[in-house]
Amino acid sequence: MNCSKLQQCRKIVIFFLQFIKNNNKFAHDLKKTISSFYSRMNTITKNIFKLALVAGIIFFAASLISKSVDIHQLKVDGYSAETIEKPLFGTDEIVYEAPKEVAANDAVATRVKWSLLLFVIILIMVIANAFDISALTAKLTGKQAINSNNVNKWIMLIFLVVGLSATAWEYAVHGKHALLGNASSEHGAIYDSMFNITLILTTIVFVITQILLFYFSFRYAKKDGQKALYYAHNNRLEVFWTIIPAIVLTLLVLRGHQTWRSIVYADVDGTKSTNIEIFAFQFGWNARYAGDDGILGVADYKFISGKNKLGLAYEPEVDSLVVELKAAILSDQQALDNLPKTLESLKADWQAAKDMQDQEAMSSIKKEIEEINCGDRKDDLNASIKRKTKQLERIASIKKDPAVYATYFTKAEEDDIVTQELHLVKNKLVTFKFRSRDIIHSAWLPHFRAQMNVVPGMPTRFTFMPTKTTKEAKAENGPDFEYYLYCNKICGTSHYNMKMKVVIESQEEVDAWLKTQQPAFKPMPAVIAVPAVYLKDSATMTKDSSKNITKKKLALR
Amino acid sequence: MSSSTIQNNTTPKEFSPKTVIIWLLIVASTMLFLAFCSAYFVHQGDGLRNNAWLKFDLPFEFWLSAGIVLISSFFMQMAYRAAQKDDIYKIPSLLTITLICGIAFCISQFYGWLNLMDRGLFLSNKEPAEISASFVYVISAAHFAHIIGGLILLTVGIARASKLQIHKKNLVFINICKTYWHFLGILWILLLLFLYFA
Amino acid sequence: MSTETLTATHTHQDEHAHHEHHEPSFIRKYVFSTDHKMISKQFLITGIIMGCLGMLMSLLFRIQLAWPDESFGFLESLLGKWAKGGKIDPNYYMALVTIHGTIMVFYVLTAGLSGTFSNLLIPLQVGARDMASPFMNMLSYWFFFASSVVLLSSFAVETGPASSGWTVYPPLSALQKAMPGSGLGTTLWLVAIILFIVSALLGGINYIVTVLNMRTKGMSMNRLPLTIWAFLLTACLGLLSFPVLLGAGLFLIFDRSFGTSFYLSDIYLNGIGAMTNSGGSPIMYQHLFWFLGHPEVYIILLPALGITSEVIATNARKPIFGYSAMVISLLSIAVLSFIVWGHHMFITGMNPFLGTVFMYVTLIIAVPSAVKTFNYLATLWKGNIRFTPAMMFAIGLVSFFISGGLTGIYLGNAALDVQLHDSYFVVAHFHLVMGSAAIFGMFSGIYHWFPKMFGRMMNNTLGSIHFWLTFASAYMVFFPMHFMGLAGVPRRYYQFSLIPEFGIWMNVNIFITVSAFLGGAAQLLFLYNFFRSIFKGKPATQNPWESNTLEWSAPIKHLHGNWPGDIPAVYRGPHEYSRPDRDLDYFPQHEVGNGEPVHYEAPAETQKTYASDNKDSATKVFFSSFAHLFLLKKA
Repeated sequence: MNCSKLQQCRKIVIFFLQFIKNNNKFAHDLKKTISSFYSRMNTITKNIFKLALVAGIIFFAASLISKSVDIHQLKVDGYSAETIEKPLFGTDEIVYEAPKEVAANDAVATRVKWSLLLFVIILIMVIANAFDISALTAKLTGKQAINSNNVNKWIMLIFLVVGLSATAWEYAVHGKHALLGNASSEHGAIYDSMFNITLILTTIVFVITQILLFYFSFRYAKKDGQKALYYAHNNRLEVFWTIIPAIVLTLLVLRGHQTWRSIVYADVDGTKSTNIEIFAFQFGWNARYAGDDGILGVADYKFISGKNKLGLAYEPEVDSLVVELKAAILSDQQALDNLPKTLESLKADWQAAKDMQDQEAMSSIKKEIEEINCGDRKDDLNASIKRKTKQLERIASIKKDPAVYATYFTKAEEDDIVTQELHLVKNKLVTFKFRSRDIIHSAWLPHFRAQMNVVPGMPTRFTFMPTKTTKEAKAENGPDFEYYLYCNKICGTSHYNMKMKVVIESQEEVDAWLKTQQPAFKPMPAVIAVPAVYLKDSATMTKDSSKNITKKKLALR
Repeated sequence: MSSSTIQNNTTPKEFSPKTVIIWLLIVASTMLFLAFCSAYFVHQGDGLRNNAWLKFDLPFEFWLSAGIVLISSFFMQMAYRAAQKDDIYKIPSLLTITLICGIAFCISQFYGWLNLMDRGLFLSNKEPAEISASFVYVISAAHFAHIIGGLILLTVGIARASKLQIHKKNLVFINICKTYWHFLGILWILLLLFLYFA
Repeated sequence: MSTETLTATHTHQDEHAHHEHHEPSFIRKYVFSTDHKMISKQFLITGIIMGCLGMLMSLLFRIQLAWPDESFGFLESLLGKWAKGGKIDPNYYMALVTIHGTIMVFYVLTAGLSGTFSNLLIPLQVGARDMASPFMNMLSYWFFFASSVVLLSSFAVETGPASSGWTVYPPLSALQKAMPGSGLGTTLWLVAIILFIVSALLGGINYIVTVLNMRTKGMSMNRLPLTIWAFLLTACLGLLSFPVLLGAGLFLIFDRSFGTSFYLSDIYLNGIGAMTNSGGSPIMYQHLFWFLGHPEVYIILLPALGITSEVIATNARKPIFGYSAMVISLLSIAVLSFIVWGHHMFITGMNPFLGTVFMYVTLIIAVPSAVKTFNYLATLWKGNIRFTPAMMFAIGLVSFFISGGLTGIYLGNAALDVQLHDSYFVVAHFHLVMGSAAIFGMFSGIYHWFPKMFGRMMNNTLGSIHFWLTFASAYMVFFPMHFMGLAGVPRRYYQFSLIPEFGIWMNVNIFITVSAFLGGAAQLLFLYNFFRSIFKGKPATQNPWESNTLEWSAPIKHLHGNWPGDIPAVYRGPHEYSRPDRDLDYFPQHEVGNGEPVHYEAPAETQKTYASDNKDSATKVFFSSFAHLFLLKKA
């Protein structure tokens, strides 16, 4: 840089000398000099004008931004319950706690914001200046003031050095936060070693190739009189750098294959692990423990109701759902029949609101009237009736066939425990059986290196063994540390607000905690005997159980 | 192609750019139907595993359309032969017969859908198992859309043939018509066999 | 080539000579033009405009990510009800993310990059008068334009644009009530994408045919510039994969609007109740989508790699190292890209065995990629490098290709993907290898072929500044994201301040946003340079980069038909730079050398049409034809 600046200064000095010399040479032709002076003056004034314009725009933008950034009313803990859309159930537990360094963060943010603004302003001015000066000098001397090839060549080298040191800094500073080497699950340790192997290999390749790229750019930059080497191909070299990556990648694949097997085949036949159902919905999670009988009861989306949020096949609830649905269909039907009347009364309301000059009420009523007029309301009601009728039909068909009935209503669901937190036992294999109510979600437990999509209508599962209790993890990572299960597949408005606390404890602690939780439904006093055949499989849904069996068979093969 | 062939000016007309364009279009729509068929396969696999896959007889009209499309292809081929033999005054009528067959195909398809609806199988499935019917609708409708395109092509072909623009030395257009029309015929027969056996 | 082509070109030329004095009307020349050079300009300018919009969207959601707790008054005045109180609405955040992705992937890097340069370079570099079907070419642009308009119009929808991510996975996108954006917004998105697919297919078919059928004399396949190879393979990829997306989109439309259940099953929606749909599989969509989606990545990247190969060879004044290795690696990348789509779905609960298969084939792609990288490095070695902006952007591409490609080795590994899937690591990976690299390829192409497109030069100094700022800011934006991903930060989260455990990343988020703004400011320089140079740039010389390829032999002022006389014949490959037996360090493909065979032109064949002899009206011929058929009347 220095070099180029010096060069530039030299060029400018030479230019001035030439300028004076030329003027002396043509001193006798006064008119010509004046005209050339004017033309030069013109270019300079134009550029000054341009600069002033840019500065003005920047000033205007700055004042605009400074007005818009409301520094005095910074709200950090301003998230009351109203601002977050409250779902039907589930996320009430998530209470936002303001981070402790709020004030410091704010100050940093404000400072950064202003320095950003300043930076951009300076940048634009510098660029404009550089451009104008170089253009001007180029115009006057007829030669490019800077040998841009040389400048760029040096920046290439500087970029390489700065870039590599920045990379090293990133590895050291931000790499510290990376979840590596501290896995809290059994397969996590294997995962981490796989990751480290890949990391080391790729880092080596990264450093070498980037160095070559930028060094070659620097070293073989254009020089006058230099001619490039005519070297079109070298088969041996090409074969060499085809085979080496191929070998390295094959090794990586083999190792990756082992790791993958250790993750997905942790419990192939599903006998070694405890089953816990993870239920995802917009926007929250529930965990369902099997309860005393150790069997997860059957659940189905058709049985979901206000009281039975997971849709367990609990007969009294299902019966009351049927009643509810029938009532809802009737009321929909009535609403459908009453549409003309509703329209009239709405029109009357609108007139009243118009008389009252109530703009807000007017617009909301008008919207409703439009909805009825264009048939949306009618369509909605019809669709709703159709949907509920279908649901009733489906529930009825389950109850009609004794064999199907027996697979659904197994009574195993009565003692199931539905919780908002997930408590797992250390060093005990656990299988999550995922079920989604509505959208594809993804359950991600980053500290356990575990993730699986939760797909509606398609049961998925993930088996792993936690190896570190929350207490141990807190000792390592600080007292604020908690394990969480995050949603990692875009699932709607509050996707970011969908997580579940995970606690790893000893068996006794988990048992004690489960005792404090209420079973989903209180067991009825007289338990009706259920054929043992239907109790064998603990899958959540009967129709899925067959799927699971086929999957297991496939896996075994 | 090496440099030695650059002076070769006897390249067959079949490889004129326009013919290649139609072949590429055929490749593209084949991919579309492959996507449909693989989706069908996957769904069928899932469905059979859950005992939720309805196997039903394809409407008789679909087989009829296959016959019609075979006849139309025959006439199309005759038209092409006529053009090759420079029998130019026969081309418009042969193409028109092909077009009429095409329209008959459309009508037959339409009755095929009516047949399905009579049996209570609609586009929107009421039961999980009935999703097989949805597939039949979508696949046949996509083919139907292709046939419409073919009919337009044929109409243009008839107009050109009537202006005597299709002859021994200008086979490009009729070649395009022929290729596309045969493709549609073969495609329908393959789809039908796929839906029948799969 | 074939007689057909030759005669066609000749008649064309005659026509051209005939109409030379007729200036086409404004609309025929600038709007509904069938000239490939004008269409390429149209693609480029639309692409640049879409690119600016996509970038602005990213800046908007970057503001939200960096300062989630602050309110910015200007956001409210800009976005209205979507930023009440100066804070972007979560739904709108999702919409911005979605439309940013869609615009960048499809509109900028597919149509803007491949559309622009395939259109410009294919006829000029293979030596053709125009595309095989100029009319289809024009349709391709206007379908693209209509598609852009439809997509952008979704911002005027009351419930907002599509907001289920650029992959629009059902059920989120299929259920109209699942989130606001899944209503009319998603319908418009689907319509836009279907129009886009039509545009891509029309364009792609044209490119393939032109390359295969309309090359000039001597332009054998092994003399094609690497750009053309890349465009050819890109078009093939598009031809084979876009119809599959069309199928996926059609199923989705049926599910959304006609009550079918291809992707839907067992759904209870909050506020609606149990849905009637049953029997479908949401994963089916992912399979169909990624069958396009993965080749799409290479549809984006291959043209950029092709442009880079050409620019690096020209500016390093060296033949590209291993021409056939480059072609073979392009080919194998193209073929492999069709069988690796499953690596986007390792954690959807797919069969573990399939996961293994997809992992194998995915990592194999790294081999041809590595070959390309090493060949680029070998091309630079002992070169005589001129740092034109185009060259620097090409070097930048190689750097991004290395950085982003290496992280692909993590993500292609099924085991590692369990943790990294959908984290910021993925965001960093594809923004480097696909986003930044392809954008850099596009910039490289713009700087390099600007003189060809507009007959003027762009300013080199501004170009250099633009490059360094963009290069640095791209790394500053995306490099730290790797570490966020490794620390377990999920992607597409709206407000990190609500998640205390991600508090350590707040400052990094601010840093990224500041860098993004820096990058954005750098693009202003580009826009200034670009639009100023169109009108006021230094007039270009015939062959400003002293390049070998055929396009520089065409006159600076655009002609309809590209060359005034005969199309030049080609005598050698495109990369004969710094040949030791020559004083000049370049050797244009069309220049006749010593001892090379001289070609002569095949005599033009005039085509006699029967139509000219015919006196009968078409109607008469039509009806009499039945008589000929049935009565066997002789003609």
